[in-house]
Amino acid sequence: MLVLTRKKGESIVIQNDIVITVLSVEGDNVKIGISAPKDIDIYRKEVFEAIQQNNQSAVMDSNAIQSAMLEMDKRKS
Amino acid sequence: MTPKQKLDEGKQDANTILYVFPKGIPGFEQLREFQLQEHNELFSLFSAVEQPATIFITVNPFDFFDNYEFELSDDALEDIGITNQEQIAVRCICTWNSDQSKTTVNLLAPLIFNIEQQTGKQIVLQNTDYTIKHPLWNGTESSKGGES
Repeated sequence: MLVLTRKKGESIVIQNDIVITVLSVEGDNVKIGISAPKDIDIYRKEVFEAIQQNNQSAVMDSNAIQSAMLEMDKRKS
Repeated sequence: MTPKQKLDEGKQDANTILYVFPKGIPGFEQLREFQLQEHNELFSLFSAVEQPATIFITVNPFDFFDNYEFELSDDALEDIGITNQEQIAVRCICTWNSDQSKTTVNLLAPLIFNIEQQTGKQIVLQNTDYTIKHPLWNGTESSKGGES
């Protein structure tokens, strides 16, 4: 991992068009501004990982879906 | 008719629409093409074309949670080419459990579809209290809660 020291208001440039700026530092909290092209998705890491895991636990295979479909039919009314 | 037959037939019928997800979905980043098949009035099946055994059960969140709402960023809309509201369809992924009270729905990260261009994306909502594991059958009163 690359480690850089920055002061409030200073920035880091990644690959020409991603700019990360330290906006404020208060105790344990660092407020970071990120400017990036629109096609780049930016997430809080723990939220993104939670959604990856949730998708992986939600996926069903062909067998599991058979019994679930019977339940879905019961549940529609 | 067995559910298996129903599933196979469904692949050809008009209730099945193919969507391209340019970035896949979190946890399945390698998959790009998905089909959405209406199963009945409440449930649809969202499955990976390249891996047909990979199937998600989804619901239209507005059928279950009257107060569900969110705002899509311009960037998110642009990503899948949405220019007006009529193009948008929304589904949320359920984590199915044979004990129905334990079936949950991911309200924090809805699937957004552009039904005209047949593209889609799983969006992670910002600044919301919706969770990834909201009970599906709790009625409409408690569709919010927890920390995002």
